[in-house]
Amino acid sequence: MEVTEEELTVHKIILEQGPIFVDEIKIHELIEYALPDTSWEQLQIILESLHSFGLVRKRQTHDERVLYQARTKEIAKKLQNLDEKEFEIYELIENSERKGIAKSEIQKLTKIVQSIVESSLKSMQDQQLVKEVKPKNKKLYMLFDIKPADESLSRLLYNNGEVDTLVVEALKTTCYSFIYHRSFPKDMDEDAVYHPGYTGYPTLSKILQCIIESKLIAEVEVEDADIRQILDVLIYEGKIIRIFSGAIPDSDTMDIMGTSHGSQEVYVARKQRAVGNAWTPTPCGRCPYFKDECTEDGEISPSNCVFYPQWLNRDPKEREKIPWTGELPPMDTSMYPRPK
Amino acid sequence: MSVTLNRLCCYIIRDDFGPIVEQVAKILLQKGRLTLPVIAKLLKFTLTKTRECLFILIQHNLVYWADSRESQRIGIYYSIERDEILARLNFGIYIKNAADWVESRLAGDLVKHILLNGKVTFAGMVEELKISKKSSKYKDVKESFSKMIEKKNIFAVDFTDSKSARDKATEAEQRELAKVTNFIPTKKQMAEAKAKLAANLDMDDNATGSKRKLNLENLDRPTKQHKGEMTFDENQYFRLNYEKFNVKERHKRFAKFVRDRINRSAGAIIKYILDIADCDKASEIESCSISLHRILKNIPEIKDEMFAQQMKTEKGKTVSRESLIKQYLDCLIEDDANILCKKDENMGGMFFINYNAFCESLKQQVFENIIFEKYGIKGQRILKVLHTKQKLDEKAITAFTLMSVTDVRQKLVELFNGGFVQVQEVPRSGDRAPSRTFFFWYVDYNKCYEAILQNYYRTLANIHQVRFEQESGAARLLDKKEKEDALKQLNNNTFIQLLTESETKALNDLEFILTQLDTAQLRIVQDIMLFKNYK
Repeated sequence: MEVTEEELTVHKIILEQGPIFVDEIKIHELIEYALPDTSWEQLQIILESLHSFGLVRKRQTHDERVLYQARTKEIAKKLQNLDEKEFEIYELIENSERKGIAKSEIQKLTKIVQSIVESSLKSMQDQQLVKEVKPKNKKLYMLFDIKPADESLSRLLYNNGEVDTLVVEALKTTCYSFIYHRSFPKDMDEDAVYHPGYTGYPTLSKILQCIIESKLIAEVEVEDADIRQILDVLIYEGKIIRIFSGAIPDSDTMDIMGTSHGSQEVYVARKQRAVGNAWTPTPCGRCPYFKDECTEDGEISPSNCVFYPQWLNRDPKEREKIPWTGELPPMDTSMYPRPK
Repeated sequence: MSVTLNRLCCYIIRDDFGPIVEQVAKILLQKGRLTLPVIAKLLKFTLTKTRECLFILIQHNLVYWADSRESQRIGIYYSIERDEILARLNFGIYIKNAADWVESRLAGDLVKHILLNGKVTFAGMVEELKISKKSSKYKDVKESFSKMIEKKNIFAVDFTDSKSARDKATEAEQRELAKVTNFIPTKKQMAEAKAKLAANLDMDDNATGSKRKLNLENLDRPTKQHKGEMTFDENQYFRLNYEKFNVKERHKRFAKFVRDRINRSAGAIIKYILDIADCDKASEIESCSISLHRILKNIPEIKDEMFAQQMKTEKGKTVSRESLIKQYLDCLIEDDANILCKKDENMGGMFFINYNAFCESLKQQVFENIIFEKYGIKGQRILKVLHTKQKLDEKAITAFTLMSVTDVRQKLVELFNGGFVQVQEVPRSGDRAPSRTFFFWYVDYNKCYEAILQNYYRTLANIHQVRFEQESGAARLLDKKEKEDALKQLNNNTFIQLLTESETKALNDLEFILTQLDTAQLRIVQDIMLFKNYK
């Protein structure tokens, strides 16, 4: 049995509505232009047929209305090859949407033996119908093309529910160097800056493209949201700023079609110079006893401080070698017995 | 805070006036207002000795007095001003930069002399510096002195100025009220009297001690016609206007901030704008409006080459001087540190500086740098997230900062112990059980600035203590050195040598150490000025 022209038209109309459930009354209204003479009963038959082909999902509301959501043809084709139990499992996973569903839950709800559930899940994963995500040591299954609901399930930045700091740091470095090299004019004075209306600063899409081209991340697809999160972190660290660039149509901002982009967010690096402070370079600025234990004439006091002589007698050449930024190394506190 | 401050104040007095005066200052700091006999009794000093100490402190504008009538007797009470003592820390900065700020070569020496004496008369100063009235130096000194009066760098003081501001205000208020009624004044009458006094006080601000009425409008114009016209009473006492110098130091810091943030050219431009605005008081929120034309006129053309080198303009466009500087101004306006603001588009644009917002950005930068150096980039990240997003729980902080939960927790505890972040508890149930309570972390920058200021004061007190310790350790050497210098001066012979080679080396080492401590102190003082004096 083949899908008829009429059915395909209805399917196309439902698909155009996006990944949402559409009321059957609304579908009837929508098809009025494409299929003007379709009666309510005929529509019911078409929808039932589409459902049997796996081209639509069906859901009944508490007030007896029926809603439909379209599946793509590719998925429907794959679904045709599934057996009854596999299809049941697929529908369960599909209904769990962005939350995902655990294997034990599937077993409990479908009452299918473990071995069959496992083999079905495996075959569906091979066909790229469902995927496996791992938030916090718990395996969950959800549809292959769905983005997890919880941000912590982002496959790029998180691993087992914990932030993958290695990936974050690597992405941060790449993004920062990409932005930095495009933030200041070359072959000019080292202090030079671009004029205020300059539009060539990197945008999010350019940075994303750079990350993809650098092949830094091989296994997982890099998404806009991930890079945006990394850029936010760089902003919090005070290394870059986000500004709006004006829409001046020139060759750089025109795309192939010749239309210019409107005002857009761009990222600009800050100069690698920070305003220093006077406190942390002194011994008091990093003394662990400064706040509570050190008093004017107590057991620990500036008069018998061990850090000041260290600091004062330091060779001036050695002083210059000490980096002026970054986390200060902890002082050797073993000289002081911990006060009781 | 108060204990640390008192400790620091005592150290400053000891450093400048010695341990005996320190004791008098200490008792006044601890106990508040006291009469002369009570001070002498508490310290077991003679009345003469106590009076001499108080005299020194009054001469240096540190102690104020007030007479209060108690039945037949008139008691004179002495009180000490903590802020005046703390202001002494800035003296080094004032002397070093005086020549630049007053735009007079001799200003440094004059300021030093005024600060050494607390308050001076011109005649007394000339006599002490041994300047002949016929010499050309006398003319130069007089010119510099009148310039300082004109620019309000020094102001006249008289006998009543040694009364504390609060006492003077109370007395004036009572006098004002006595004019209105003989009976108990109503609330309305009191408010009217206060308003009248406040208005008078504002007018008094223009008093400079000069005989010629000061014309504010002519101050920045070429003063050719006024040259030599300015006369002042040579026996009038003058003291330094700290506020004016503080404002100058603030502007120096602003220019450095812009230089570091954008580039040298932008720093130079903001310096000229600040000079044009010529703010007098640290309490001023905004500068006056300055037209583009005035900015262009005041920036020397010699800088044009540097400006052109440090700005990449649009391709294929030759840029005039005006549009180049305008681009720099746009750069300053667009910067998120609130450096420059635009008021209007007329006359090529009217610009002004919001001192308040600018200071806030500067404070924020210094504060974030402290956090960065003390708690690392992760600490800074957490703080910035909390500052932007307000109250957040641990999970949300983890999501925003992309840090592991353990790292976040550890850094939050460290920041909490440092007094930089706070927790807000929101219980979900009536029993306020911790397991059913939200813990939201937040940061209040103003509270953090307070905490930092306190740390700065404590560090400064510690540095003083270390210095005294170093000096007392080498007291014998210092005495010997003093004797040697005295002998050299007495006999007019530079070859006299009392110190051995090893002693000279030890003395050099000590000097090196003291210089290091002084440098650290000076840097801290600059930051204290930022957090305390600049609003």
